[in-house]
Formats: sequence, C-alpha cells, structure tokens
Amino acid sequence: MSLNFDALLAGPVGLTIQAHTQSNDLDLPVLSGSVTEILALCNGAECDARELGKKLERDQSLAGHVLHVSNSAAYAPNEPIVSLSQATARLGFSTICEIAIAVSVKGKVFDVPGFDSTLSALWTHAAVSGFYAKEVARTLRKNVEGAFLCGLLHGVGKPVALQLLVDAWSEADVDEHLDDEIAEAMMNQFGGTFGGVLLGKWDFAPWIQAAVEFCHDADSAGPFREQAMMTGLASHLASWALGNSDETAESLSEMKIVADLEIYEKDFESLLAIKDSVLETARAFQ
Amino acid sequence: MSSEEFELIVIGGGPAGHKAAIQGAKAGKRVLLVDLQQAVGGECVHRGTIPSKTLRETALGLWGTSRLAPKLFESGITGGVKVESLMRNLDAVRDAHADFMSEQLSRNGIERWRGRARFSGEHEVTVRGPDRGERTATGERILIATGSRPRLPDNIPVDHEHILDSDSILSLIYLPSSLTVVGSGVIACEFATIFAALGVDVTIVDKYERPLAFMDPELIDCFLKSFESMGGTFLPNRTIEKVEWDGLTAVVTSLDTGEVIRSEKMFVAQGRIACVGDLNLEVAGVEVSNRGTVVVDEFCQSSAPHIYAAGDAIGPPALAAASMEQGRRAALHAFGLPVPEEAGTLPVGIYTIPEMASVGITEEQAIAEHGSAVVGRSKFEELARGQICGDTEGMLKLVADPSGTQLLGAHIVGQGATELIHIAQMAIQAKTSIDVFVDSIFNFPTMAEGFRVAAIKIVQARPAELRKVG
Repeated sequence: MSLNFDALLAGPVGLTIQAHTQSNDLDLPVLSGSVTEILALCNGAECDARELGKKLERDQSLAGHVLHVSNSAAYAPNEPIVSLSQATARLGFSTICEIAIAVSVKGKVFDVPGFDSTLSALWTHAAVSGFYAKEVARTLRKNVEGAFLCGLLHGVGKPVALQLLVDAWSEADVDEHLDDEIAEAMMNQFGGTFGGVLLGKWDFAPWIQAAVEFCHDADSAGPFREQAMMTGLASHLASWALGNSDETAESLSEMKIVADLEIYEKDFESLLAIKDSVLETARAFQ
Repeated sequence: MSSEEFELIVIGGGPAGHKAAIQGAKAGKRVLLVDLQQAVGGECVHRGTIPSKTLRETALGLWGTSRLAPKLFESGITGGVKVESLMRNLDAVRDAHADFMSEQLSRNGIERWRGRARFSGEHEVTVRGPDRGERTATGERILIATGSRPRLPDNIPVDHEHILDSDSILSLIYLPSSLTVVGSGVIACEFATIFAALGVDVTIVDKYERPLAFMDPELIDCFLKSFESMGGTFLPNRTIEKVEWDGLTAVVTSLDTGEVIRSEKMFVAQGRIACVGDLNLEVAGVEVSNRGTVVVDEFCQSSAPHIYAAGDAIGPPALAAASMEQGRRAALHAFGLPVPEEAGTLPVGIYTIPEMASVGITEEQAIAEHGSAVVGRSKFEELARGQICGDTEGMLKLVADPSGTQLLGAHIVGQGATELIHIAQMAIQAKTSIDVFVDSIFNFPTMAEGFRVAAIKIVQARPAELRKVG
C-alpha cells in the first residue's frame, strides 16, 4: 500500500470522511419501495398471500429473483415453482421476506463501481455467514430464524464505507490509485458502524442492528451481546469455509468467542463438519 | 497435570448442585462447583422453568383479561406477534435469579470452574473448558447434578427451527399460527396451554388415552375442557408415523390413523434423559440404571459410596423443589451430618392454564390403601372469588380417610392451585383433622374458601356416628 490508511485519514480524504460521518451525512442506499412494502406486510398482523403476490408482481426484477432463488437447492422444492403465488404460498412469508431483503441488498448496496470483485466476494461471504449463523444458532438452541438475517447483513455497512471512501477520494482529487488494501481498511474501520446506521434507517429490529454493528465487538452490544457474538462467529466460520483467512479449524476452535458462547468441542466440530453443505446452500444467493 | 484438592466437588450448577454446594460450604468444607455455563442456575433458570413461567404469566394475564373483558379483546392476539414481546421482563427475572444464586456461592466461598467434567479416577475429575483448557480436581466427596436434556425421538427430525424441543421452543421469534405438540406430559401440556391461551391453534398428539395420567382424573377432565374451550385439540391413542418439514411452509405429521396434520411449527416433548453419558462413570464405579439415570439410595448415595447424585440425573420426580432438597440432603449425608427425615409430602405443581396441583394420594390410591375414602369437592364457580375471577371451571378436591377425619390428599385445578396446595400440604404433614378447615375462618372472597366448602362436604359424608357439622 503506497498510502498508509491512518495517514490517509489525517489528510483531505480523511477530513471529508469525518465530515460525513460526524454529521451523519451518509449516502445510504434506500430499499426499493416494493421491498419496504413487503417487509411491512410480512411484519404486519394481516399478512395475506395474495397481497404479497401482488406486491412482488409490481417489481419485475425482484419477482424474477424470488423465482430464481425459490427454485434453488437452498429451498429444495419437490416440484419446480413457476409462479409468484406458488412461491408465496409454498415458501411462506418469512422466507419471501429473507429473499426480498437479500436480493434488494445485493442490488442496492453491494454495488460500488470499480470494486466488483471485492463486493462479489463480500456478498458471497455474507450469504455463507447467513447460513452459518443459522447453524450456530441451532447449535445453541437460539433464534434460528433471526440468525440468518444477522449473518447475511453483518457486512452491509462495508459497501457503504467503501462508497464513502470512493466519493471522498474523488472529492479530494487524490492522484494515487485507490487500492484494495486501503479499501479493505476503510471497510473494516467503518463497516460495523455504518451497518448499524443503515439497518436503523431501514427500520430493522434493534437486536439485528446491534448484532450487525457489534459482531466483532460484542461487549459493546449491550443486551444483544449474544446475538452479536453468534454473528461474529458465523463471519469467522464463513471466512474459514471460503478460504478467505488464515484461520485453521484449530485456531478457530481456540477463539475466545467460541469459549464465550460456551460451544464445547463436540458441537464445534459439528459446525466445522457442515462446511460443504453450508457453501452449497449459500450458492442460492449468488 | 497437578490436581487441586477439595472436600466436595459438585458437577452441575442447577437447583440440586447449587443447594448441595451451599450446604457443603455451610458445613465448613472446601467446595468446587463445576458447570458448563458461566451463569449459575442450570436449565431451570436459563431454558426451563424461569423462562417458560415468564411467558406463561403473560399468557395467563391476556387470557384472563380476555375472559373478563371479551369486548376489549375481540380480535385476540394475532399470529406474527413477537414472542420476545410477550416476555419482556425475562432478562431481568433471569438475571436477578442467577445473580442471587451466584452471590450465594461467592458469599459461601465456593470455587467455580466452567467446563465439561468427566471422571478421570475414582476421586478425580478432569474439567475441560470451552477454551479447551483442562484442569483436574480431587474430591473427598463428589456430587453429580448434571440435570437432563430433552429426549429426541428417532422418527422426528428436530431442527430447532420448525420442529422444536423444550430447549429451543422459546427461541421462536414470532408466535406461530399453529402448533403440533407431541407428547402429553407436564412440559407438553404446559406449553400447549400457554400457546393456546395466546391464540395459537394447538393440537396435542399422544399415544396415551389421557394427558398427565399421574394426576387425578377429575382434574384432567377440567384441564381438557378448558384446553378445548381455548381452541385446542387433544388427539389421544395416536402414533406418529412420520414427521417432515415440507421444506417450505409447514410441518407435516402423518399419524397411524391416516390423519395428516399440517402446522407452522411442532413442539416435541417426549420426556427428558439424564446428562450422565459424558461423565465416564465407569471409572468411578457408579452404577447407571437401564433408563440412563444414576442409581442412588434414599440419601442420594450412589454405588460408589463417596459419590452422590441428585436432581434430574437420578430421574423422577425431576422437580426443581425436590432436586434442591435432594442436593441438600446428599451434602449433609456425605459429611456425616444429621439428615432430617424426608418430607412426607411432595407437592406437584403443573403450570398449565389453568394450573393444577396435587399433594398426598388420589381417591383411587386412598381406596386401594384404606378400603374406601371420603371425598369433598368445591367448584370454583360456587366461590365468590371464582366468579369474580371468571374461573368457573376450577375445582378443589379433598380426599380423606374412610372415617372422614384425616386428610390424605388434595387435588386442585384452577387459578392459584399451585399456591393453594401448600395449605393442604401443611395439613397433611401436621396430620390436622378435617374439622380444622370447617372451623377456620378464611378471608372472603378467596379461593382458599374452597377448603372449607370441600371439608364441610366430607364432614357431611362421614359415617353417621362420626358426623359433626361445624
């Protein structure tokens, strides 16, 4: 890296970034209207399959993705799902919601021109984290349904951070090329915070916001420490499963977060053993 | 590896282990408590009794209010309500209880290790922590209080997401619209009624004719009537042939009768098994029964004289209150201290909606033991408090000896049953005459008046030569 990240933060790029973060002036992506409506409908008391189908029909891109994901290995349909009403009736509201969020987030957030491969890798990591989070929760007999979204969205702030860096870079008119190392340092530094802010804007439940924001600093997550730890562990497991880190099965098992979650040897080995099936399931979201 | 020495090692920090450790420390012994979790209290505090009763309290309140003020609750609780929102104070309740227990341990100088324990010698226990670190301790006396875990039938794929057990049922985010409950024991019936009271369409499936077969049949009649009035269905004499999550929206249960039940979630409660499998008990020479529980005598002493066991690890009754007493008695006996006579009565409390409680013997048992019995009943609808509370299905039943003078058992269903039962417990233990209930003044209006009503009926039903109405 030609520019040190700390030095960068002290310079004009850093000042721009600080100005935006301190004034909360972030260019946060907005979930599409149809996704917002679907979220509201699924969270509401009067959830109606026909109404949900109508809302999906209005967003052709989303509808296409829902059908694509519905037919993937992750949901293993006994027979092909060919219509939205069939998908809605058979997948259920919560699954449709998960798919809608995943599809929308992928399109709206994980899109920073010039960083396609970085964001593609991030998205893959997010999907694997989502499915691993479910397995961690299952092991601990906790909230399997909610764990998926925490895992899937735990890196959602990183593209926001990256976009801010790209904008600040451009604004400061820096001559040098914005390389991947600086991009990564930026995402690591601000990703968690921005993720929490983004999910707050999208009206996600406080525990999901906290799990995302503090997944690598669970002690700061207050009453949601456990969800944050589960999400953090899912992220580590995903990195290991994808070969994105130097972690080995042994070093993973010795991590403090594993002890803090009180996952004993036999259970942890079971989590490691399902790596291939988690990777296979996560392909549905790619 | 060097081994630390203790006079008492307690494995498991639930109700039995906690009380044993405190008793040992109060006897001036150096005590080590080993538990899998940092937080004290075991499953009782963290996954079982305390959380389920917290949810029940909300369900009971909503159900009671909906009966007293139906117009306010015309729409009822709709599906999709967050379970967490129904047990808002759980963390506070749980933390308060765990903190209190933890403080007791600290105050008594009890050392605590976190980890999974196994016997590495007759007197030696090796503890492997979640950080994979190992420590060894040697104990003059050792108490096994490792509790139990849900028994998972081979033919039901519990995934803790769609098909849940008692460890995972409270991790649900949303209240399901429908729930199939497998089993009709205490845990099954408690959760079935809690969810039914919250508006969930609940179906209990079991191979037996009646739920809670160890309870007085009249109580079960009231229980079933109330459960069905909440929209619940009880399917007796059914065997489950197949259960599968259809991969999309429903758990599909196929029964031997050809019936097929589709529900959003399933709750499996088919008993619990003792957590003793990983303890390496062979090394210590501890005998285990064919049901997988540690075999003990009346003082909770195992086949290895220096090793004791208490709580769910030794099997029924597997009630928190009984486990605490077992732990305490085991610690006293282990150090040769006087062990008080075993309590003659053990009350049973079942936190269904409505709740049920029992102490002493049933009418059937009384007839078998004494040749006959005199029974008095008080229906809650006859009591002013019953009418005020809207609890018109409750009932209190007293069972007396053939002369109608000695109370042998009491069985209550309805509001306050688990509290009211202690009046009968004291009377049985003190061998109080039935006439005391007749001659006593109870607050008005209370459910406790039911004792007087039932006692009067017993007096009236006495053999003529003994009759004396108060």
